Amino acid sequence: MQRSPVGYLGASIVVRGAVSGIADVRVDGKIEGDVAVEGLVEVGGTGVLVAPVRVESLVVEGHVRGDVIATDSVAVRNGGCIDGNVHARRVSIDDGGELHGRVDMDVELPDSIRRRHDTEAS
Amino acid sequence: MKRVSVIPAGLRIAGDVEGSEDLLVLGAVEGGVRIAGSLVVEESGVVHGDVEARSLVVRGVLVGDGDASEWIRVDAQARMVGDVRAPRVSIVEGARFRGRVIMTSTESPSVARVPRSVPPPTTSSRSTPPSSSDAEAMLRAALHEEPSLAPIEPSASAASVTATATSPGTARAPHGAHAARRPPPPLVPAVRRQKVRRRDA
Repeated sequence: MQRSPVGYLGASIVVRGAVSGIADVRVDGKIEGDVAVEGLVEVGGTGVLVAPVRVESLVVEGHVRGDVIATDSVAVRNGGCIDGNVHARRVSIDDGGELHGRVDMDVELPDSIRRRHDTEAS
Repeated sequence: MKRVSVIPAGLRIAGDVEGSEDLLVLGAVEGGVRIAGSLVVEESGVVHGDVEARSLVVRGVLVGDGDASEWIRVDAQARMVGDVRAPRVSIVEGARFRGRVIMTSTESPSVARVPRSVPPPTTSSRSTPPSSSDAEAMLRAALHEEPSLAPIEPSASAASVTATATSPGTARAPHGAHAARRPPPPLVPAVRRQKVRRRDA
């Protein structure tokens, strides 16, 4: 039996709707709608996501328009762009990558500072 | 070589899919699929919606109409409910199919047949599969019927046909199994009409 290939949406493929499930997918085409995938999603150079994105990990070489929530990591590569807020454990933006929005990572501060930070915030 | 588009097992799309290349469906699509290339719904694939492609191979589940400009093959493992419409349609022994078969006219000169870029669905070409990705190999296997295809189990399928065709009260002798099977497809309409005309004259 052949090994099951990973997901791939070629440059001409356009999906309008909700994409969900457990899989790794590379997107060189376009998804408009909603993306909720347990796995790695790679948006290639020609790839476009116009959707709120919930994934394990996201690698962006193309364009993502929408808020991103990743349980693990988000990486914006050179030439990649995210228009939206990003919440993830780890976020990286390579030189040449773009992000227009807020980044929200858990930041572990030293106890002394955290206490002061927390009281200031409240 | 161009990478083949794949909706993998485990992935579900609720919505429409469009494109101008080949597509392999191993996951689930609830919505329409319109592809200018070949569309293969693999054994693990489930499509609930109408599909359009240049050529279509159903090896999994398709609930919806299939429309192809070249050919359609409903493979042995397929379960399909819906109409199929193409110049050439084949339903492989073992397939479960419910729907209309519409073989679009190829006699009319106004309908120019698209030159075939792939061999007909029933001929088995023995070309060796290219040593590229798994998806590419799967697509090739589906489109060309490489020998890697799972063998059909005629005994099992024949038994199931008999079971559905015979009512429980009228148990038939083993040789009756053939008679209980579906009759051959109807005659070509043109031939029928000629016969009728002759009788009238």
